[in-house]
Amino acid sequence: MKSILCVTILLSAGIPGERHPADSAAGRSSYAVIVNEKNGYGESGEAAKTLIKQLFLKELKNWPDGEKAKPFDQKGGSDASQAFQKGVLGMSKAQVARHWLNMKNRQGTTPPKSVSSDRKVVKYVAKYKGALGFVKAAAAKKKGVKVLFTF
Amino acid sequence: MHLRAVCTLQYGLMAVLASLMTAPAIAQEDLKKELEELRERVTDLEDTSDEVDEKLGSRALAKAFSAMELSVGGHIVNVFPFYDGEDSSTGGHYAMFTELFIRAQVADNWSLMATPGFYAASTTSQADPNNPSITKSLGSPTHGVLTTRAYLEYSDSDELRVRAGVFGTPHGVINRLYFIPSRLMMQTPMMERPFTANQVYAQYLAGVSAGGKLRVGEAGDRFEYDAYVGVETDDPADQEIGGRVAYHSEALSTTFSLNAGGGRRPDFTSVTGRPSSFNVAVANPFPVYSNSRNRYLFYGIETETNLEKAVIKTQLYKSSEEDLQDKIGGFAQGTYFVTPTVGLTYRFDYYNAGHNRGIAREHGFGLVWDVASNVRFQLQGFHQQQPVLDADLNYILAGFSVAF
Repeated sequence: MKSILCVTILLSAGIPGERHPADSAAGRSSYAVIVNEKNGYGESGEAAKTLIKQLFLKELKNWPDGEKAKPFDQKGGSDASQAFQKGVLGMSKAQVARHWLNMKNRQGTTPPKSVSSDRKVVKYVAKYKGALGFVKAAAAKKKGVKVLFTF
Repeated sequence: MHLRAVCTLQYGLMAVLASLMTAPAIAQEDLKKELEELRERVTDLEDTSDEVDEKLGSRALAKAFSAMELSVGGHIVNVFPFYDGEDSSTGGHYAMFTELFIRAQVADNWSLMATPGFYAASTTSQADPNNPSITKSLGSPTHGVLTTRAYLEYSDSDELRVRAGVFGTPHGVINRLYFIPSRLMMQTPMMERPFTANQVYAQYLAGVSAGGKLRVGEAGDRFEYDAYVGVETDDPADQEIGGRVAYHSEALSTTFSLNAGGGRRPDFTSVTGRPSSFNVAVANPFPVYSNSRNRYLFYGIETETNLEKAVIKTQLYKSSEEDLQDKIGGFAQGTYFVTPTVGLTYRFDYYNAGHNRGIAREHGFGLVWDVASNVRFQLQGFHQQQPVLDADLNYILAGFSVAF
């Protein structure tokens, strides 16, 4: 009986690493752009934001040191995705959609891989040296990644 | 199946965790070992699932045989123009174009890109962008296959990209964006409409191109460059060469570019005289005459501004013809987004195709509605001041495009 109770408590607390719906109230969360801990890029502020925008939109393919960039997106419509579009890309959802149609038409470029949770973004960014992604600030303090800036 | 296994194991982990909290201390060591083992198995399964997902793409149905990555997409464009000449003549046709985008990353720096297209249309000069004919007979559909891009690309950095095969030229704001589908619609400016002998620059070539971009400063500015040499796919006898340099200002959200090139005009000696009807004239306001084959150079400037609520495109090109009079053309187009998904467009288009063939001017008004991120409806109205025919022409173009 105790075991069942504990399982119920664990389930209601959510799977570790996943965001709880209560955290997603718009405006309350702050997010972080994370990169692999081996990434040597040292700028911050507007310069970093501009570079992240260009790498995420695949207008540039490489970090300044020549490493190939591998951006990761979060599922469209998620709070994180909306916050990133507004706070880093400075674009509306419709603008982003038009951008990817243009990129596909011009050179067959597809949008970044979209993943479903902060935990997975952290995992991928820790795995690839050139990777970048965005997660809730609280989820960014993980081994293998470092925060470039918050928004 | 992998996902189900992962879920099962996750719940298993929770059960073990729950047991850990209640079990006697003696059994806790065993349970911890079991928990570690389960954790490893979950990680293994997740890695396998990620690997499969990486190879297939999250939405792909097909598996690449030997490519590291395979992207397949495409779009379908349908347009239904209706022409109303001020001499009381009318006409209309339809055009449907399905183009697939296939891109395979075959090695770290090597990729293949091909865009086979399938079109069906009523027989007008707009119908067959690969081999335009000047018949005005409607009701006799034509169809075919067209590969507008098929190239091997080498790219080891942003600074260098080399393409060999059939590729689009870097000239023309709308040409770079919409490319071949624009030839089926009147979205393309007059200087790019068939016939190729009437165009200022080639739209796509078989040959080699090289280009890249450099970061300038930390504000997001870029310097872009492209150069190419090739032959027109329907006129392989003479080389065309050209290039483009551009500067993108992030602060102005604008790209400025300079273009130049040259070659020899293709020969369309079978197409002579004045346009025989309005629906032909709209595609090409100028008649092509015999012996149009001659050497030429061209120069052009372009600007493209992308703001949150507006997109502005302009270009001005001039040619220098060896045996003919020079061509000069340009357009200015502005789109204002009333809402994020509904835009209103106006374009003024001017073209003097040279050789005393007069000047064509066109005013275009458009409404575009992005119903979904990959579905667009459009309604456009144009007024073309004809250089050759005795009356002006109004035409309406309704259509939709779906991308996937």
